[in-house]
Amino acid sequence: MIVTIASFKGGVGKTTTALHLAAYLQTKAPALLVDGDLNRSALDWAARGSLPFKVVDEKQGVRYARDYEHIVIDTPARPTPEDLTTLAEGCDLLILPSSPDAMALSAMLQMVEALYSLQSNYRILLTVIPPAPSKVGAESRATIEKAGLPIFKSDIRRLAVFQKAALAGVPVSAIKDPYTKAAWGCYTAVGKEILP
Amino acid sequence: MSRFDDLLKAKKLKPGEPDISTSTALSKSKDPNFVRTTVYLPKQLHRQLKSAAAQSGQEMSELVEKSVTQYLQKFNPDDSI
Repeated sequence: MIVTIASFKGGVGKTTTALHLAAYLQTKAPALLVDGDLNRSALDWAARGSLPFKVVDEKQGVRYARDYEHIVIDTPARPTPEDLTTLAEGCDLLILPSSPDAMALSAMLQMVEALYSLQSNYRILLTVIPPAPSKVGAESRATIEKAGLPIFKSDIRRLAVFQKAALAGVPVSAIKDPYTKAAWGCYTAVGKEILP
Repeated sequence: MSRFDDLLKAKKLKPGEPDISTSTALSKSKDPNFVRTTVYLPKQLHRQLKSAAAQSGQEMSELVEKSVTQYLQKFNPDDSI
């Protein structure tokens, strides 16, 4: 299965999502994370610590792709129209992460528009959801569902443990923190929606 | 052409299968229909040619080929080239 993570806006948890979904898929079959972001954030993450799966850039990926059952592709914040077309039509699932704020949501809707004319199986993932009493997560979900757009049932919460994991170069599941279970739980729930 | 084309093509290969060839066209250096030649150009013109090639994404060879073809058609309209 090829899963691509894409968004027109940065800072919406694209790399975090790519990395943790690769970690989830790795529990099912060998998974490869392709860092297609020219910032190479995922490769940096991997270089700082150790990840339970292989991380390569899109050029090295050509050599490794055939040996892995699952491929997760992280993309640059501003994919070119050619990249978007290739990935949208070439992957099995395109995930559009968005935080619940006006700017990220509007960037996400722009991408939905860009995908309109393409043959693409996409789903929106709400990320960086602030804790209660904030209701922005639920409100954003209601808006997206009302518009009839495909969205994951589970959200990704805004938790400091994600930053700790990035710093340590490991997935959240490898961090000792009271919120580890909650954070990893977010992604296993999403993972189960993709591949039970 | 996207940076991800080869990656997605490669995923379709079976483990252990040989690499896909990224380009099937014969390069001009190996194509018997082409010869390599040396001409002297003023430095400035050479620079302009190089820059025009880069800007239009073509090879300098292609630009020279087009220009020379046009020139010959203009001055020897009877010859079929």
